[in-house]
Amino acid sequence: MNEDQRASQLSAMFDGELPAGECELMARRLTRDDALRAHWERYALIGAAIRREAGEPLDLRVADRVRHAISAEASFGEGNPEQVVPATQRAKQWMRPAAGFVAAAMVAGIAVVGLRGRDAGLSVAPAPVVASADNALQATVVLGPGASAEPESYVVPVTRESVNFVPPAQLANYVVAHSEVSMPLSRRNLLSALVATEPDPGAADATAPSLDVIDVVDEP
Amino acid sequence: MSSMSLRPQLRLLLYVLLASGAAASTAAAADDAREWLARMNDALTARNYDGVFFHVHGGRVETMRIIHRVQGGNVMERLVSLDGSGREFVRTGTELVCYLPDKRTVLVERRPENTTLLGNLPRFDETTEDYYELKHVERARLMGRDTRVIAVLPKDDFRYGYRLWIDEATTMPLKTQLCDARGKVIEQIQFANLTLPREIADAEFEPQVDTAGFKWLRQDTRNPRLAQSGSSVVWRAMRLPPGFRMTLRSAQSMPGAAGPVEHLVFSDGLASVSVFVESAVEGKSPMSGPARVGSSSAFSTTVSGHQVTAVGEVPPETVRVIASSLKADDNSPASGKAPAPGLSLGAPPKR
Repeated sequence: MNEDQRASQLSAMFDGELPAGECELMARRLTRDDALRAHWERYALIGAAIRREAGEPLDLRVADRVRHAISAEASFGEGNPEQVVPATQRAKQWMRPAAGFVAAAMVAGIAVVGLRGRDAGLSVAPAPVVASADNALQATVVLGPGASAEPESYVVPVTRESVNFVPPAQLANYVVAHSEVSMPLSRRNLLSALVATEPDPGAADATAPSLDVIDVVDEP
Repeated sequence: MSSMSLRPQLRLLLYVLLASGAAASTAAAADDAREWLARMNDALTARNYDGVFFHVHGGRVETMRIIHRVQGGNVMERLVSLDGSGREFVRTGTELVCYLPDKRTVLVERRPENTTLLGNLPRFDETTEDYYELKHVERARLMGRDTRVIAVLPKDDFRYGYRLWIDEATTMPLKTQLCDARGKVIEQIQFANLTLPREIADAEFEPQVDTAGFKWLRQDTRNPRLAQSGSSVVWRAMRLPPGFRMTLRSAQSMPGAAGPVEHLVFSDGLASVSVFVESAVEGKSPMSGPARVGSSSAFSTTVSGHQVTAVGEVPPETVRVIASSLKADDNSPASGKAPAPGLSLGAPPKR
């Protein structure tokens, strides 16, 4: 298992998606894998970052509590394998915070902050005007000749592995433009992904040609 | 008629009543879920909020802050990475400014004046339910709040679904999961802190990025060819995944493009795919093949000397099918030959 796969498993554990049996294996791995433990501790720092963002004092004990939770869970997993969550309960794991490591994540991140609905009692603002704009759009709709025809074939979607995960500048432009016509939820996801995308030094050359033809102006 | 002879009829009546009651209950649950979705969308677009959330995707977790304000009809929004790239996006009305400190670049995207941001948004309605199953799962506690858990389940592999934890009091989504047709979580966003202030100061929308020495990349709104676009070249999708239809067609100038870019939008009512068509630039290698940005898929190909790129928060195959099916109308100069007969992809097998 490579580093990416381990990180992915860790993320699944954070999401409550990792089967309990694999959680145990991850627990053992965490006790001897410094890099993975560092990744885990980053979750603790997330909570710390949030506390700073909220202007509250940083509680350094959070990281210790996480470590403690990890340690306790690891020994628990090794000594009591019969305590593995039954399959029927695992099926519902996405509905609730997972035990053990996820609980530690919650200690680190979620539990240290709260939601403050200062105007929780406010009524929801009226919906934006949509209907008239939708109607106006109908005039510009251009459908493919067969778009509404009965099905003639069906292609089974397949996932292709060889994809480029690093967007060149041009693709980033497209994603930004696309976000403007997406649902609010999708728009937030799209922009979040773009904000989160890590720069890739190898992509510098790929982005250079598109930047050359952009209308570049000095900072106003 | 004896009481004995009535029993089968009464039994049948009871079955009918129970069956209709169950059906009504299912329909009511769907209506209820749809109402919660609509209220959530309204809250996301029309309310003021300021929150910190985790963005989990591909084994990575990033912490971000989003500040959203609607004041006098003007929307302002700021999205900032707190522990990753340091990137910030600030939206003011029709302008979106992307601060990319890792690239020492500021990208300015301006939406065309003739498009309405909110008016173009897909809406979940009855027809959408041909392709998604809407479920009101249950009430649940999350972060000490009462939430409604709504599941939007795709009926085929051409689109993704959602699981949403919607705060009962504010109708804001406290947690969202993007899932594939098998329920596998692709991306998760969970708020850790959320406030809904009556007022948000202008200062909250000031970027914290020092842009000294940065390149500023803007659309060339003076491009004379923009006015000519869209009239002579008409692009059509010859095959579309089930349920998708074109909902918008426009031309716009974009940073990085040598000329006007044709922007086509296809939607199934919930998911949307944008297709961008621009003239290939001599000496510049066009994008080709699949790509991903977070949970979004993209596919690029070259058609009749034009680069065609489809982008959307849908599975990779969906953007590939749409991008590959795009053709220039035979009356347009971009077409080298008559278009193939129209063809729609068939309805997928129901789950």
